[in-house]
Amino acid sequence: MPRVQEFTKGIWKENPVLRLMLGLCPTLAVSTAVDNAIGMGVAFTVVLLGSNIVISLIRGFIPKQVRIPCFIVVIATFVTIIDLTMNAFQPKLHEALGIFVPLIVVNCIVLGRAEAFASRNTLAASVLDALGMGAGFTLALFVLAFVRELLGTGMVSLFGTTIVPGPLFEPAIIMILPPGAFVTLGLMMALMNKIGDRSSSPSSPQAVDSGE
Amino acid sequence: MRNVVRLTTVLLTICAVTSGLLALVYSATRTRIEANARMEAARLRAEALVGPGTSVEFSGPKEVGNLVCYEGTVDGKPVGTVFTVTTTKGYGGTIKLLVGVDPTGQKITGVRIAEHSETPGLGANIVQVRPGEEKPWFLKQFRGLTADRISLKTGGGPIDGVTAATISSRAVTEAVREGFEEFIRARRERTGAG
Repeated sequence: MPRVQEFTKGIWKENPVLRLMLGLCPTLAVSTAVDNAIGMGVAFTVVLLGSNIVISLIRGFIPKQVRIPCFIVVIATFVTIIDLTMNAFQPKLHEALGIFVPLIVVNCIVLGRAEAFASRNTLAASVLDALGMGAGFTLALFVLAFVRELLGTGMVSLFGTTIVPGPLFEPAIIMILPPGAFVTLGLMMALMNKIGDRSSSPSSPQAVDSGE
Repeated sequence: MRNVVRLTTVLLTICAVTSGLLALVYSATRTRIEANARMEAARLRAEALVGPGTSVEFSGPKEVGNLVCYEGTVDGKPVGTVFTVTTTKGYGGTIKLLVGVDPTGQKITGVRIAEHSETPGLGANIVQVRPGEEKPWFLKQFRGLTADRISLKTGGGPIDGVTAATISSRAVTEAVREGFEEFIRARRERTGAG
């Protein structure tokens, strides 16, 4: 089994946000600023890693009929442990990520990976899958948030440091409001499909059918 | 029948193990979390009175009217009073504010937000600190204001609201004004009676 693919697939081919269309609710909600996007991405990756490891380890013991409640219990426990530990030992980080951590329980990518991958694959593959999906999620959120913060506020700052000074132009407030999230996400998906079509067109039968 | 017993046992075991784990983590972190919260509350009270980085001694809590107040001193000299106001008019629910008032009881020394659940990137910008600055820009505008001047620019006052977050800005501004008016009223009653 080509192991490195388990990692890279999460970034492009099976990107959780842009390809699998999972976890869109937190994606749209927190992509208003680059800081939020990175915070959510990191917290999400840690939880997904923990949940994939545990579920891959106990996959032999879980009966098929009760697998969903088992997965949810494991995920919720992980989220709560991380929340409590961060609150006790990293209060600054907890304050910054505070609102995002409980949101991860309802992020269906975590449950989705538990169901579709970790419960059927080995520990090593599940770890790679979690890291890849985490990277893909963080990257998608980062790009989305960068575009929205830039167009919506005219400048971009990252944890107190200004990356794009500004305001460079009169900002379009709609970009940091919910409609801006839908518009940007839609355009990103369109762009990804366009690039995806072109790179797979030589072997893709649809591409041949739709050709002149 | 056998199957039902097996399913129940597995789920029960997983729940029991995770509950145990949670109880363990909770009891191991509880004292630290409480200590952090107390330190954070004292830090915010100090910021509302004199700004970041100064250590202020607090006595209290005591009740003035229906406000919970702490009186602050720096090196034995009174620097003012901090009271807590809670508003439910925020966009995302309750906002808990700390309002500092100077020793004469006439002017706001500062406002800090202890708890809120406003939308990240929009309403949550009521606590945004601009790059290179120490204090949240929105809250900084309350400093030095008398009770009659606390209102947003749209209401004829001096305070700039947070872009695209009118509800959050208004909730904070109104809570500060109402709390301050209550404080002045309660104080006048007390000094009038005593």
